[in-house]
Amino acid sequence: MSFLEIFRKLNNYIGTHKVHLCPAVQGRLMNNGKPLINATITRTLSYSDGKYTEDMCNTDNDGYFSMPEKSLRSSQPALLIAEKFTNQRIYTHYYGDEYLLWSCKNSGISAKSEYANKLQSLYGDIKDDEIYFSFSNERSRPFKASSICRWQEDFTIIDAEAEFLRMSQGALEE
Amino acid sequence: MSNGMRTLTPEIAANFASIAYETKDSFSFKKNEYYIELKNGFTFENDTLKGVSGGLLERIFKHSTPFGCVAKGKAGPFKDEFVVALRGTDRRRDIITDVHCGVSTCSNGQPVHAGFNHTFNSIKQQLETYFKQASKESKTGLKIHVVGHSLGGALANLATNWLKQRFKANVKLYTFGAPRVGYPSFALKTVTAANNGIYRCVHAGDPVPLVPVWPFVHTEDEYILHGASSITPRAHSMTEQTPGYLHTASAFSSYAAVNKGKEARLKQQVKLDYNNRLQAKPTTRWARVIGEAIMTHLAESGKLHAIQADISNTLTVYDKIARVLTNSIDISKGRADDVKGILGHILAFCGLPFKAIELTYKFIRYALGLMLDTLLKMAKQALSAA
Repeated sequence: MSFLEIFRKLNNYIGTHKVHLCPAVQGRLMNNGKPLINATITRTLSYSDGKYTEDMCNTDNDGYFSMPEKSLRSSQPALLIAEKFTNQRIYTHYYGDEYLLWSCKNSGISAKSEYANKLQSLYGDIKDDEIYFSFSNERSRPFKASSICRWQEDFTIIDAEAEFLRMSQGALEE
Repeated sequence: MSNGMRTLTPEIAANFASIAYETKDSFSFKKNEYYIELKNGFTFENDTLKGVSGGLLERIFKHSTPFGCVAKGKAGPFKDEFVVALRGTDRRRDIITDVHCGVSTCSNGQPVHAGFNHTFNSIKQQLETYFKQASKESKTGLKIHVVGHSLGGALANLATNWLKQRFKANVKLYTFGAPRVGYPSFALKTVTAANNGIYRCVHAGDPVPLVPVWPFVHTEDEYILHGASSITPRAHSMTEQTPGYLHTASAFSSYAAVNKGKEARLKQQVKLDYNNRLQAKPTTRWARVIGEAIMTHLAESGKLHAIQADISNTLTVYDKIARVLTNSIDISKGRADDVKGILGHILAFCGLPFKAIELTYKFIRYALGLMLDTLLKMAKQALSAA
């Protein structure tokens, strides 16, 4: 580990505010219905002030994996008008291909239960396509994320093309 | 359709303003929700715009961070129209830009906020390279939508003027929670440059559109996406859940549906009597009234134009105003009473109504500084302006 790398990691512990990056993650990874054994799963969490964390875990003999909750400290939230968000990304490599288990943006610095619910059950099969979907949000518009995983409830696949057409409707009516 | 170009819907504009924040690494850029949706109508340039922001030391090091992106409409409603999306503050460096308060000349020859202008000049070269090529390929003339949130909105104002002047492009301007960029002359030129295609969105509770204060002004029309008027920094955020410009903008299918407001152009004549100073309260209304009183006084002493045209960088605008107020004291008793009235109201505004007033440059400058501090505190900002 280079000196700069050590300094960068140390810096994640310095700051006036605690920034929640990602809730605890649990899930299972399959390969065409069979457990994907000993696959390395990487989680990159980058906060809007430029700090980021990266951690990894491996799937066990049944394809299960878990990761702890993650946060860092930053002074950026003290600047009240700065834009605050975290980009969450969880992925794995298998024979040179990358599979995206979770890609989402968490705005603000606090934990959200809706995200925790989804990340508690990250069940995916690498044969499935990556899809763009929405899940409910108690306070405002639904959250949106991309993943190869599927959920039983609170999971609506979005047709991005139709979504764009809907957005541009107002411009056509002019 | 003015200029023969379409208008981005509030939702599309808000998505562009949000995507500008995602330009730091290419992965999160390609995987974020805005890109996934917008790519159906636009292709994005790989080169994100790099800008220089921050204080003097930072400028010397020319530390550059991406400042946004350019997209081109493919098949669909926005075919062959360009979008320039510029981002706002997310690091300390940028905040310094936000409140740095000198004045310099921009592309249309009008004085504007020097901090914004410097930041814009640093991304100009890339816009130049890009649109030079694009204007060669275009047969019908460039059509460019310029979008920005916060500081990005201020840069978008400057970009609009520059693109119009440099490439004779048809430009439309969309801002969310942008601060004031320049003097009234600049605002007027901007309206002309965009041929009235200006969509300046605010939340009533957003503190940023309230700064910098007089004599800076906005373009006239404003679109109020969210009416709750208690001032909170939360109201400034683009992506925050409540209110969040992204969310409030998405509720409207076109700008015609949004509530409109006006920038009160500081045209009212206001005189303040020292004995009535206790009426002043720390509210945005009184901030405006005191601003109007100062402008009235400057206009009457014939110095308003001089201040608005003076673009030397050594003194801030507030130093100059303080100097004019000081000079007024010796001219006549009426003038001195004016100044006393203004100072009394400023002190009452700041919660010090019974502080003794001295009619000196030092004290006047102090009172102006106090007023700015209080305003910024109202705006819950960490740094003081002038």
